[in-house]
Amino acid sequence: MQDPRLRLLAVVALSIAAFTSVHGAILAFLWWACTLSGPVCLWRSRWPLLVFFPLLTVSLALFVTGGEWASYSLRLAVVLLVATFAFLDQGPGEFLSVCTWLLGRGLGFDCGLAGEIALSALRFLEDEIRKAKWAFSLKGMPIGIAGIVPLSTGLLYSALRRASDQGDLLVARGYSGGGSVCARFRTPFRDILVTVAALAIAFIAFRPLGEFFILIQ
Amino acid sequence: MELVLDRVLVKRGEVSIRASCAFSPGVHLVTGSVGAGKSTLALVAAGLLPPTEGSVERRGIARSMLLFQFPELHLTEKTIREEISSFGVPADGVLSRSGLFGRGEEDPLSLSRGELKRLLLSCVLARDDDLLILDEPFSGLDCTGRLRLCREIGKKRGGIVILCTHERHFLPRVDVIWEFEDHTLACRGRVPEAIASWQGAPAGIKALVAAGQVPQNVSFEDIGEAACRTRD
Repeated sequence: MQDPRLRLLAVVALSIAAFTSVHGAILAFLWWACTLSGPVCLWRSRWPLLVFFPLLTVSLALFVTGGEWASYSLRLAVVLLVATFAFLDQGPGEFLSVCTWLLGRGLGFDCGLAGEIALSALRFLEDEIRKAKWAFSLKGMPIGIAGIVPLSTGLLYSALRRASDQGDLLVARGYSGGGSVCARFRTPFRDILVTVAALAIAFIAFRPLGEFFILIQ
Repeated sequence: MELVLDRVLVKRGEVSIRASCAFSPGVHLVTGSVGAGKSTLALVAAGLLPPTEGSVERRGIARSMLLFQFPELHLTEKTIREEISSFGVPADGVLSRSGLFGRGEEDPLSLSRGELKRLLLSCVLARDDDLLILDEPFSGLDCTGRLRLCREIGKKRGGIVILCTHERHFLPRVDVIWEFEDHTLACRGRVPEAIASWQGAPAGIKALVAAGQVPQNVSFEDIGEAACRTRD
C-alpha cells in the first residue's frame, strides 16, 4: 500500500476483526494472503516471525491447562501477521507523517517521532543481529544457549548508545517538543479498494455468521 | 595464496555492487565514498555474504578474519581478558599493546568506543591470518592511534591484508590501490605507479602529482618526503 494513512486504518480494522471472532480472523488472514502481497513482504524479511514465539508459549500453556487454545492462537496469530505486514510495508518517515497529519504539530509530531525512533531501532536490530552472528562465526564459536546472553547484552548496549546519540542530536538541532512535517500522500485507487475490504471484514467480524450464511442456522 | 572474486555481483536494495579481482599477498587499499560498496566487498571477501552472482575462490587461505567498522558487534565475552582470548591470542601482550594493562577483568562494554576499537585492532593484528580484512579501521581513533595503526599494518607480512577505508589523511604503506567507481571495483595498480591514476586521491597527493612529485607511497611520511622534494 502506498498511502500510509489508509494502511494504518486497514491494519487497525483488521486487527480488531481478527481479535473479535474466528471468522473475522479467517477473513483477515485471507485479506493478508490475497488482497495484498503479505507473504511476499514476509519472504523479504522473515525475522519478524520471532514475535510468534511468545504466542506459541501462551498457546502451549492454554493447551496444557485445558483453555481455549485453538481460537486464541488463531486470532492472535492473524493479529501478529497483520502487524508484521504493517511493519514491513512501512517506509522510513511514514509513521511520523501520519501521526502529524492525524494529531497535529504538537502531540502528533511527538508521538510520530517516538514511534519513528522505535521503528528505526527495530530495523537496525535486524542488521545488528546478523552482524553479531557473523562475529561469532568469525571466531569459530557456535551461538547456542550460552551465546544468547552476550549477544543480547551487545545488542541492548548498542541500542542504548544509539538512543543516547539520537537524543544528543535532537537537542543539538534545537528540538524541545513539536514540529512540522511537509508530507505528501499518494492515494492509488487500489489502496482505497483494499481499505474498503478491510473495513467490510471488520463489520462482518462483529456479526454472527448466520446473518451471512443461512445454511449455518 | 590468493583471493579471487570472479565477476561478483551483490545487490543491496537498488544498488548493484560489482567486483572482478584477485588479491595476492600484500596490503591492498580499497577506497571509495561512503556507500560505494567497501563494507559489502569486505563481507563477501570474508565469506560471510554470498554474492548474488559470480564466485569467490580462496586459494591457499586457511585462516581469515574481518574487523567490523563498529567494534561492539564483535563482543562475545564478559571480561576484556576473555574477549582477547576468544580471538585465539595471548591476553597479556594485547592488553599492554592496546593500553589496557591491568584492566583485564573489566567488562569490555565499559570501554569507550576508541578504547574498544584499539583493543579489537590489537586482537586481530596479533593473529596470524592468511587473510585479514579491516573495514574502516581508523574510525573512532585519534591521530596518535591512527599513526600507530598505520605502523602496525605496515609490519604485517606474508598474508593478504585488505584495508577498506575512506580515510584520507593517515594511511599505511600499501602495495596495491583499488577504487570503487559507480559501485564497481577498479584496480589502479601497484604503488607507486598507481598513485598518479588514483582518482579519489587526497588533495595533498593530487597536488604533489600535479607538481610532478609523485610520492613513493601513500603514508604520511612518504607524502611529507615528496612535499619536501617540491620545496627543493
